[in-house]
Amino acid sequence: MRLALLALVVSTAALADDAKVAVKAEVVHAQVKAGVVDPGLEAMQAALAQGKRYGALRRVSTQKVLLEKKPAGLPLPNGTSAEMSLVTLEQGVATIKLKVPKGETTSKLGRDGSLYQQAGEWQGGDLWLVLSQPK
Amino acid sequence: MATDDLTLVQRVRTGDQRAFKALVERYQRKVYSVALGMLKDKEEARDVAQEAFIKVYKYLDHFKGDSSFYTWIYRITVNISIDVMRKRGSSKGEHLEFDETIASDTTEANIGALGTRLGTNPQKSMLRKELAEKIQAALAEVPEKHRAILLLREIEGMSYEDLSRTLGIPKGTVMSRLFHARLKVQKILNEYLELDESKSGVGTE
Amino acid sequence: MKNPARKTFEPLLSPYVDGELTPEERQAVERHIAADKESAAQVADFRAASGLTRLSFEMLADEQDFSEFANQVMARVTPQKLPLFERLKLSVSEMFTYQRNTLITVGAMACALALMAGAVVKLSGQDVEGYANARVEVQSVSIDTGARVRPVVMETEKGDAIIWMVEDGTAKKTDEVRREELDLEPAHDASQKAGDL
Repeated sequence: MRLALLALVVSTAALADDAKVAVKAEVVHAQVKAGVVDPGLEAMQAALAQGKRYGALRRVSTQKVLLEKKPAGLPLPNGTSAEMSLVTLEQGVATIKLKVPKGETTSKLGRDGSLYQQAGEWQGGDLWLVLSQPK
Repeated sequence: MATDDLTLVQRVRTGDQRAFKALVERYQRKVYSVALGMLKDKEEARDVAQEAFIKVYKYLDHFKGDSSFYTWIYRITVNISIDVMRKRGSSKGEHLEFDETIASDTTEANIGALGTRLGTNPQKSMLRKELAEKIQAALAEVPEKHRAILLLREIEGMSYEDLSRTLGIPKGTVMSRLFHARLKVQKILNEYLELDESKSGVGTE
Repeated sequence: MKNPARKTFEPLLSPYVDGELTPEERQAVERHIAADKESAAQVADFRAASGLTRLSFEMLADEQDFSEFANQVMARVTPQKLPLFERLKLSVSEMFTYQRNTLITVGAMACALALMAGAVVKLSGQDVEGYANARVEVQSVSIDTGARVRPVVMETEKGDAIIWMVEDGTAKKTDEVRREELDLEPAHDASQKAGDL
């Protein structure tokens, strides 16, 4: 129990000095034509259906990233790249900046939902960045 | 007086399963009818109707109440139906030429024929099963986006405002699609009725 | 000779049947129908087709047996929950009556384990940190200079946020851009005019 308490104190101090937030970052290739929806992307298909009905969704890459103030690069298959960084971490809520070709967005992360950011075109479809809580 | 939808939703959130069952029983016929109108297949329509309620239950915590419950469940039903149609590749409507910018030629629709033959308030007793199935077949020729609007309007009596919210399209588009879908169904029904009358030797009423 | 007013009133006949016109529009349509037999007949046809569609689906729904539908849905959303819960309640009550000391010891050990597990989660707490918000909330979107896109932000009931980057080549109305870029069909010209009334 003493060891656990010590670990608690150390970890709290570490967050204050050098805040980091883990995020799962996926790059998904989405096409309107009928095709295969990779397992686990059905929710994405349903969410995006409000705007566009994609018939095929393929996971190009997935990685767990530790976001911090210094931007982390994420290469995209169409030769461009995205950048992610942590803006603030206040009262347990992380605000992140996501820079994609043509623009940048600032958002608060949420435990229940994902952030879907359109990030250009590739091979007759759209590229999407999906950020969510790693589980 | 029946308990309103939002009260039932709140009860489900506190764990009251009977409240959810009440919601299912309230909407099961109409949700099934919308799915049947989209898919034409009774088995698939029943499956889709059940899936819609299951999805509603799963995401009930996220229903904010800023739209009515029934627009939410119909939106889910239409979306699942369209997904099924896409997967089976029978979304005939998507490939159908239905250019609304071309002025509709209503002269071909034999205006006045339906109202004359059937009256403006047809009764269920008058309705033959064959005609009911012909209406379903006529709907299958309407593009899926137009079909959804027509079904929700005729089966649920949804207002244009609610149709706009349910399907995420402007009210002007709702009006336009309903108009064209009705013309299309009217034309097909007239063809059927003319054929039917010539077969049975019945003249106009 | 074709009534030239018919073309103007044609797109209003369907919303007239649905009771979706303003009082002024309704009066205008009623005046037109009184003067134009063909438009009156079109309204009659719309009402007949509308009634037929409604009745036909009622008839088709009558053919379905819904007696077990709700139970089937409930079985899929709450599989075997009640019987299991009842069993657990019974087991715990029996243990408390006949095996109190064992129950207390096991309970104490479970608490200790839970505390330790909590400490371990805190240690790797960065996985949980940052997600105190339930929903994703977009704070701001900015577009690079010269980029011909327009951001469209959407949210889902589940708590997702979706940021579309819509091509914005020409100055168009919002709904027209959305229709073209998001794969929807163009609106009927006459109905646009009707919508503007």
